[in-house]
Amino acid sequence: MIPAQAGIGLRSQHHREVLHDKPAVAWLEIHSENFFDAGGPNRRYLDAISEHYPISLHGVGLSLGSTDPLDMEHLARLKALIARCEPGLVSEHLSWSSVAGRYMNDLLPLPYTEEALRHICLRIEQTQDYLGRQILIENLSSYVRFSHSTLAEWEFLAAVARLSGCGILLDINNIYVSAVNHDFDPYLYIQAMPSTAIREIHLAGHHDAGDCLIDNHGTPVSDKVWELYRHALRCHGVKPTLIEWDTDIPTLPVLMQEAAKAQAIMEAAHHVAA
Amino acid sequence: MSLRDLQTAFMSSVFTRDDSVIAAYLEAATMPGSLPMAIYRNNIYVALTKALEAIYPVIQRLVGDEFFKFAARHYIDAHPSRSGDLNRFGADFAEFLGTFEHAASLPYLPDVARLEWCCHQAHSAADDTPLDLPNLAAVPPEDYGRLRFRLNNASRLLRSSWPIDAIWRVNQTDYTGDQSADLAAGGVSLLLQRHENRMVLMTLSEAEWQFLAALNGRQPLEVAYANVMRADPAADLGALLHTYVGQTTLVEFFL
Repeated sequence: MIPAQAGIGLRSQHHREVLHDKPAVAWLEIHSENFFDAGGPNRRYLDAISEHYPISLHGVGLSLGSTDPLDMEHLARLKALIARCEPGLVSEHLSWSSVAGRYMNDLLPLPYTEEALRHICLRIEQTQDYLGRQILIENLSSYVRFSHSTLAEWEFLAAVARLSGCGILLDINNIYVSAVNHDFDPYLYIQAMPSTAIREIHLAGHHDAGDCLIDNHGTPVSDKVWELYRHALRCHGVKPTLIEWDTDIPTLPVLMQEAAKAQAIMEAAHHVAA
Repeated sequence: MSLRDLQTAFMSSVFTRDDSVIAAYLEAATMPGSLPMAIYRNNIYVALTKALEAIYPVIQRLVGDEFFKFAARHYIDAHPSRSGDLNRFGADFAEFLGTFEHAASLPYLPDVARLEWCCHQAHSAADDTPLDLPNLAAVPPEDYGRLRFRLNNASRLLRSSWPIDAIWRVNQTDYTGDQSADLAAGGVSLLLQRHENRMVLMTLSEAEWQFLAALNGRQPLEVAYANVMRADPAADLGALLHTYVGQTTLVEFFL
């Protein structure tokens, strides 16, 4: 069970320190594929760490939106990992990354059409049936929009949750990055989300490249994103919230400070609600 | 405009660097026209290159960052990623380096890459438990010749006509000694095995190689022994078995 508190994304740079010092963080999230190993040090590490912290699994490789058949071996490895570490949450993305057997290993946006909606819902249902549990689906940051889309991204994501029964992992930074890149109102996006479906929130940093924002997970969470986060909590109540940092990874204390900031905002929001 | 067509056009744009087909699908953006696909193309090549760097740090040190990126770009185009698990990307890098004309002046690179791929695989291989010694001791002596063994999942055997063991050792990040490796030292036979969290590289004599290679090929002990004797008539057969059972290279036997 992942508590409605702040957690951090665990990266290999901090493996040793986290296991040794057991820092006071409410939960940890790991990238599923990095722990698919059949044995060896990563697997032993996961066993050790999951004794001390609630674990959430975040997948980047399932390519749910692809028109290729689902990779059943990938799913089987995920299922084995779930059995081993009993995660509180399991998440993937509203994206695709492969076609005709070739993978780009990136999170690519879908067109927001009825066809894509039916397709990804079917694949999420197939995944949830196979795993025997609900998965969460995370919204992307993106640099393109497809001209034949008939739905806004927030309409599409809400429909995915309603039709497939998946939960939503709401990435506030991704909403902000896409809102700037595609000129929409991020506050309306957040308001349009179904509260009960949101089961986790992600926060991360981005890079301002001038012409657009790049979602690099390589800087502190920006003030604009913190503001949006407060808005999300006002709209939907407190949710488990994760600090993600994937490039130029800072020291563990810096990550802990970001998590403490999220925690303080959650407590303030809770206080107002009470 | 099916989803399939869109995905095919998108991928084609990424790898051919030609945006003319995907452009018809894209909404006029707030950013300059060619920028969005350039961002995706860059993210994709960077992620795949980083995956190779993580698996092939010795190759990267040997050729330098710039050349590594250049080679990675060619590899990514010639050997597409086939899995959503990036840990599976790079299996053909050794083979690729062997045919990459720009690397022809470093003929040992493919074998060093082969060794690094073996390390990568052994690192995540399933854990094994030591061989059941009481059960082995209970095998009647007349059946010894028919015994077959399985090697540890986290072990790999490899041979090279270059001293890749020395090249690998002096290019480990925690190595502080003399950085040079004598290329004239000749070929080596190697056993790589994960012990706890570390990869241990052992240089084998011809007798040791013949012994392990035969058993790894699921040949019975009598064949392994005959091969050992041809390589070194003075070899101590009992000691070989004892050594490799003791260091959990041999983990299971069959009769």
